[in-house]
Amino acid sequence: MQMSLSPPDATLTVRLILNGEPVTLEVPPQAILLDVLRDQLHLGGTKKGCDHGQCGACTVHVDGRAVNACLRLAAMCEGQAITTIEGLAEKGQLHPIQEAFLVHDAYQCGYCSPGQIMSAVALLEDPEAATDDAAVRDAMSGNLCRCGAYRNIQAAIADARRHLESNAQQQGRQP
Amino acid sequence: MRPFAFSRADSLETAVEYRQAEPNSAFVAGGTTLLDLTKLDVMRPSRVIDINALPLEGIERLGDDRLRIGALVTNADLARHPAVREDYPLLARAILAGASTQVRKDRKSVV
Repeated sequence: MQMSLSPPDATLTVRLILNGEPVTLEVPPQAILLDVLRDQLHLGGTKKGCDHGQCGACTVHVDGRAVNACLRLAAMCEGQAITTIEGLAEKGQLHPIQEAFLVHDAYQCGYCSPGQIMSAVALLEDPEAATDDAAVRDAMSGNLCRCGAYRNIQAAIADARRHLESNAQQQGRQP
Repeated sequence: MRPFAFSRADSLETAVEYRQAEPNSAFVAGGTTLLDLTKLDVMRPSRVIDINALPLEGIERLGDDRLRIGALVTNADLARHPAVREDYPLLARAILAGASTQVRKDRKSVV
């Protein structure tokens, strides 16, 4: 059987969906998704904090799962749907969690905020996740905030959850 | 990051053949350990073989009280599986006590 093993310096073509739009990337095999998002696609919302999967500042959604973009090869994303912080607002309308972050002042320097928000959205969209404070803190524990905005982040999440639940109820009532 | 080559395995046979053809290659599932250590130059694969397309996501109760766990099962999915919650609650608790949401949900080869 003939195997076509690419030599180390070849460029790979990777096709994926990014914030709802098809994108074709030409990247070296060892290109990391986080670096490609920031340096090649100029989407600076996703932040590089520790670059080793510990701080969560680089959290993005890959096929609906919150993952650290710093520990993912761009090549692994072939055929996948990636959502970054830039893709959350719809037609200029902020996501309820983004509104809640503003209302509750859930940031200081803002560096961890995109990652916090992406993790919060994944948590809010998880039907199996427990919603008590301890469970929320645990679910969000992969996102560090060196400015210490944790309490306000937690309040924002609770507020956004109430907002989303009330939206869902209103939609349920419509014919 | 030291350059390496990349291949995507479309079958178990292909994955094994790629690995045998290049002894200094490494499989990648979630990549949370491989890429962490490769960035530190601790692991230096000449080629990374992506196994995420392989049919290895099953969690299966075997007749003799054992559980067969596919290599592509994520830590999070394993911890919330009914069979694990019922029969191996300590395993579920141990998994959920480790890493972070992002790392647990990412594909991780379960040893």
